[in-house]
Amino acid sequence: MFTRTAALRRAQRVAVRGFSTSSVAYESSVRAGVLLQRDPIVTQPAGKFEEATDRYFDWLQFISADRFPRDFFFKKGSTAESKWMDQEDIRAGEWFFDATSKPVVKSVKRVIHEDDMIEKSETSKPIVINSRETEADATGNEQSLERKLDRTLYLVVKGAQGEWTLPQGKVNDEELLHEAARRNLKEMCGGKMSVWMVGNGPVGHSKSGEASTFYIKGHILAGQAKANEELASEFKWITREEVEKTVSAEYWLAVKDMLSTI
Amino acid sequence: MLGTVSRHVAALRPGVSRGFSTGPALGYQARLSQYYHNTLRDDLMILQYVPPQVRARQEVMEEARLKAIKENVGGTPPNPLRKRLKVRPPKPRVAESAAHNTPYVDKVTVHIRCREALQNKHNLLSALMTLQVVTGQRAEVIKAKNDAAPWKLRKGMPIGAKVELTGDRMYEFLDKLVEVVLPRMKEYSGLPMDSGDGMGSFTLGFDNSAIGLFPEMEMVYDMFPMVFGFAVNIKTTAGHNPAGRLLLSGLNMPFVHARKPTTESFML
Repeated sequence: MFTRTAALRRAQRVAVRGFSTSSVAYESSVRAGVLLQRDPIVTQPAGKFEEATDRYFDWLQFISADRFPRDFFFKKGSTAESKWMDQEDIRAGEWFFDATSKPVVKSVKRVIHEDDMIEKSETSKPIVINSRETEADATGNEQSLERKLDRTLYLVVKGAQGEWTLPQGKVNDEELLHEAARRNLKEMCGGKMSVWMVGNGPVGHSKSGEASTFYIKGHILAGQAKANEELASEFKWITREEVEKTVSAEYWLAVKDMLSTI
Repeated sequence: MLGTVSRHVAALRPGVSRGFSTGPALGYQARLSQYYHNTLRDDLMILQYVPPQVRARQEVMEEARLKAIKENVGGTPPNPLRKRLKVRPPKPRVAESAAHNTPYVDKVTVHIRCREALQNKHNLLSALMTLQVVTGQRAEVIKAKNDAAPWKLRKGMPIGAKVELTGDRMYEFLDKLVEVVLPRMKEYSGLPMDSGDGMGSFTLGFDNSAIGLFPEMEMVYDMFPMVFGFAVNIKTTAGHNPAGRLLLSGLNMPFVHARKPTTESFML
């Protein structure tokens, strides 16, 4: 859709040169920016409601399921079979409707406690789940890409005037919008990032005075930003809510619809 | 073997014990489902966006093309003796790119054609169990719709098994297929670029060596008297192949060009 062949681009450049009326550098009122995001790394945590619903439906599925073909999977009298039967007894002991109507389960042979299970089976060690909070969360390091793993983070930079914006800059003559966006990102935040840009068309725009800035979306795949002292004094990777607190109210209105709530 | 993980989870977290759960703990939503809804969908919408001016121009060109076909300008005149028995219905217009009609994976069907079931119906049991183990859902028996004398097949005989997956189970299955099974296959480079049914749905076929690569099958592989190849049909709402490819490659499905590499084409 936005792809152009090299030949077409060359022809355009020639046309621009041919028709330009003067050699004075033309200051474009169009600026190009990049909406660079880091995607969520871990899944969303389940809320209490989701957890309860999930557990209930799982249980409904269990009690209404077809019988497990024990004869097919286990040899008669094997260890695996007796293990499975123990497991089945625990499962059968669960009852999610009101406690008064719980049926008496006769098949429970013995109750397995947590302690003796861990002692007996060396092969199946308990699974320790890593924390969702990382070191960057604990120290409040907003430049780290390893913070807020379940959220989308956006790159914002502090400009020369001390205002926080998405990385952006001028569009030069004979330059296409997406080329300018890429160049500006590289100039402002260094070339040590591997970035995939989503198409060549803008996803949103903001206005300040005469100039309009068009933003092209991108994903960071590897590397890290490094602020260029001349153009940007600082950078941050922050979530939507943090963007709202960081940027000016006017700028927030322009960019808020581009940012993901997750 | 089965359910050891959930047992530990039950022991570790008494508040959220899932002792009855026979499958992996799903949590709130499947990983791939979350990825689609939170990240991929937005990108698909952006990539498929056509500006209104360009769209209007495309529509004018399309109308002119259809008109030319109708009036048969410059083409061979239609054969008056030949009558079209079936009039192909016109393809639906590709929907405008917007949040509500971004393509998504609608349904995944996994099926096994079991020719051995003709000799002995019990052979079908292996196919049914395989599908159940791999997808976590009860498989249905497919019965023959027609007679086929050369194969000694009569109408109504059981000939295969299938599972239709939707929702979280579907995403779980796709996730396993793309992240575990396909990378483990030695000679699989990807779906050819010209695959697809023209409406954005894709079918992948695998031989019987692939079924053992599913993590659930690894543990119980020896217990199956027969293993079969299987076919996976991925139905999307894309409407045309390029959009379907875009969606599936976003879900990490590999695609390859059918064209031979240049070095080979120059060899004698």
